[in-house]
Amino acid sequence: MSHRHLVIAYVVTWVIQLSYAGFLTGKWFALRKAEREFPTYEDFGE
Amino acid sequence: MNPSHSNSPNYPAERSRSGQGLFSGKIWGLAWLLLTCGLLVQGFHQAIFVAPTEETMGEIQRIFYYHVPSAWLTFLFFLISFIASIVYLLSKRKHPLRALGADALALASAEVGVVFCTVVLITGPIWARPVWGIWWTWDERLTSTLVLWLIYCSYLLLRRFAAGPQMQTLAAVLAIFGYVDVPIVYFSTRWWRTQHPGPVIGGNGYLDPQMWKAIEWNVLAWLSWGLLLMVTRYIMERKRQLIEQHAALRALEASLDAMPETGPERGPERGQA
Repeated sequence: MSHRHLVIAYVVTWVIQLSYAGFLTGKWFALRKAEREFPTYEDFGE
Repeated sequence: MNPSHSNSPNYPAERSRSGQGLFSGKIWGLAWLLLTCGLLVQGFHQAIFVAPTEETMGEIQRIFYYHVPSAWLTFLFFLISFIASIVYLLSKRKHPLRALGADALALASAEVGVVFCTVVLITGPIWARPVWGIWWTWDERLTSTLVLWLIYCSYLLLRRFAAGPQMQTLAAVLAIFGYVDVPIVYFSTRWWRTQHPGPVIGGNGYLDPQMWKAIEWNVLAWLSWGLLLMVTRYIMERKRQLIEQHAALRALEASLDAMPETGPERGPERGQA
């Protein structure tokens, strides 16, 4: 019983963390697409 | 008024495509990712295979090696968000560029903090069910942690759905007031008689050195993972700010182009005056 809970806890931790990493990856590609449409300056000062 | 951006040397997209040798961000990022993966494997190995089995709770106690580092890192990332929010409020008038950076950092660290806090709130009940016989109890530690999670979720929702120039200020104020809950969460097991176990650091309980080692490895591994996510999110938010700024500039340029040429030099009003 406790062993099953241990496995669930570790799996849930990884699922949450990797889901967030996947969310960031998707957002990254969306940003790259937007950047191709609107190329940005090096910083606001230029 | 619309320049051909593809030939300009000032655009980072061009620079990143041309590459910057061994010191480019991509290589450092990949090295950091590989190091983090190694640390996570080592942390898992220490937690499952090296740390001794706890006498009373048995195998279920090993949840501790993911739950406790996640809780500490929740506090750390919310602390970064708290400090960045203060910097934003202090510098938004005199140093707007610094304020934008601080705002991006506050958002990135709050997001990563919410991810770790979610892990804490889910792994805790999974541990509690076989040990306490219940999934959840409304004791001070658990309730204040849930409140903390709700505060920072509302912070992220505010940032996602609110619009207008005051949004960043409101979000910064919310992050600062929200951080007040962190010491309440940490000291709740000392201030009140809670069902939750006492603190690992500064508590009265004894912890086996091998167990300490497993905690330390996992803190290091998840810290590296969390910082990697936070820096990535920060870079993305800065890019989004730049794109938004540039889109606004181009819109302004386009509207100036569309205006009829009735400037002060050529306008009839000047001649008449």
